[in-house]
Amino acid sequence: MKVKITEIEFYLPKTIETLELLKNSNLEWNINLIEEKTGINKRFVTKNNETALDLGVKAANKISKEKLLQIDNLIYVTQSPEYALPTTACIIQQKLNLNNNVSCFDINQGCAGFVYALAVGGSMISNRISKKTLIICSDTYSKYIPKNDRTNRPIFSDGASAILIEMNDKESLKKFSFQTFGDGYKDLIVENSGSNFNNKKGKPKLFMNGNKVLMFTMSKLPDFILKFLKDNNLNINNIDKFIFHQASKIVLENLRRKLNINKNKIPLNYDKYGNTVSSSIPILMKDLLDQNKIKKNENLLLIGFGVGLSLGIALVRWP
Amino acid sequence: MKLKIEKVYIIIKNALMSEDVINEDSSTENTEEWDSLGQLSILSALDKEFKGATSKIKELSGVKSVKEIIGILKSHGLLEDES
Repeated sequence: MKVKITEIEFYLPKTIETLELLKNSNLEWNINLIEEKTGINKRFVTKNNETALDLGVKAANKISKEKLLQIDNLIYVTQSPEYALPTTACIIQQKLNLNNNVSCFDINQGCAGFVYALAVGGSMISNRISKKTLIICSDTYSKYIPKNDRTNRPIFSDGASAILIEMNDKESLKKFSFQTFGDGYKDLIVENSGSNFNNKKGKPKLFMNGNKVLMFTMSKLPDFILKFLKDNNLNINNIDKFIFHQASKIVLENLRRKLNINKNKIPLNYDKYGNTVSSSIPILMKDLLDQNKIKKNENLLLIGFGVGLSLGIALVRWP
Repeated sequence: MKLKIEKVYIIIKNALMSEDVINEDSSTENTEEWDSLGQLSILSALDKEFKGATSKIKELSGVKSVKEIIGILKSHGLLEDES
C-alpha cells in the first residue's frame, strides 16, 4: 500500500502504580519474583472518573489542530468502549472538533488491534476512500482488574496512542497477515460483560489463563512469523526491527529464543510502560523515533498478539 | 530429543528457583514456589530444554504435579526409558 505513518503520539494517565504499592494490600506477593518474570514494576492507571475515551482524546490532541482538521477517517481501537452504543469514535469526533466529513468506527481488538487498524485504514487510503486517517488506540484494562489479581494487575497499564496515516508516493505498508484461534476466546476474557452476561451478577472482571496464553504464543506465533517471512521471500535477517506487542518479559524472551533473533533487533520498553494492550506497538515506535532509532528504508515487522486469540503482522518499510 | 526423568526434576527445580527437593511427588500442593508464575517458568524452561517440542503440547498448560508432567512427556516420547 502506498500509505505511510506520518505521526505517532501517546498519552498515559498520571497515576503510577508500583509493585511496592500493590504489596501493601497483598502482603503475600513476592514482588521481586513478579518483577523478575514480568519485567514490569510500575504501570499507569486511570482514576475512577477517567476513561479510555479521555486518554484517547488527550493522545490525539498532541497532534496539531491543523492536521486534525484534515482527517477524513477515524478508527478507534478499544475494548474499553464508553458505551455499548454509540460507537465511541463518534464521540471522539465531537470531542476533537473534527469536521463532519469523517467516517468513524471502532475496532474491538486488543493487543493485535493496532495492526488491524493499520490494515483497515491503509486499505481505505489505498482505495481512495480516505486521504488521511487517524487511528486511536486506547484501553483501560485496570478497570477490569481487582488490585489483588496477581496474574493481571502487575502487567496491564492503561494508555492511549494516536497515529496519523496518509498517502505516500512509495509503498510503505508492504504486507499484512492475520490468524485467529477463536477456540481460545475464554483464555483472555472480561467476564460479566456484554450481552452474554446480562443476567449474571458481579462486575466486569478480566480473566487470563496465563499458562494457555503463553503456550499459545510460544506454539503459534513463531511459526506464523516464519511463514509470513517465507511467503514474502524474506527471512529473519531481512528484518531490521521486530516491533513486538510488549506483553511481558517472559513472553518476549521466549519468542526471541524460539525465533533466534539477535537481541538488538528486538527493542523493548515494557519496563517503562507495562503492557498497554493495543497501544504498546505505537508507543514503542514513538520511543524509537524519538531516539532516532528507526532509519529510512528499514524493514519493520509489527507483531500484535493476544485476546481473541488473535495474531497480526504488518511489514512496514519506513519511508 | 529425549531427556532423563532426573533431568526434568532439575529443570523444574531451577525454573521454580526452589530450595526443595523436586521429585515425582512434587506438586502445586506441596511446593511453595509452584504458583501461577512458577507454572509459567516451568513451561518456558521445558520448552527451552526440549528445543521447542513442548510448547505444542496443550495438556501441559494445566498440569499441577511433576507426575502429570512426566506422564505427558512420556506419552509424547520425550523421555528416555528408565531401565
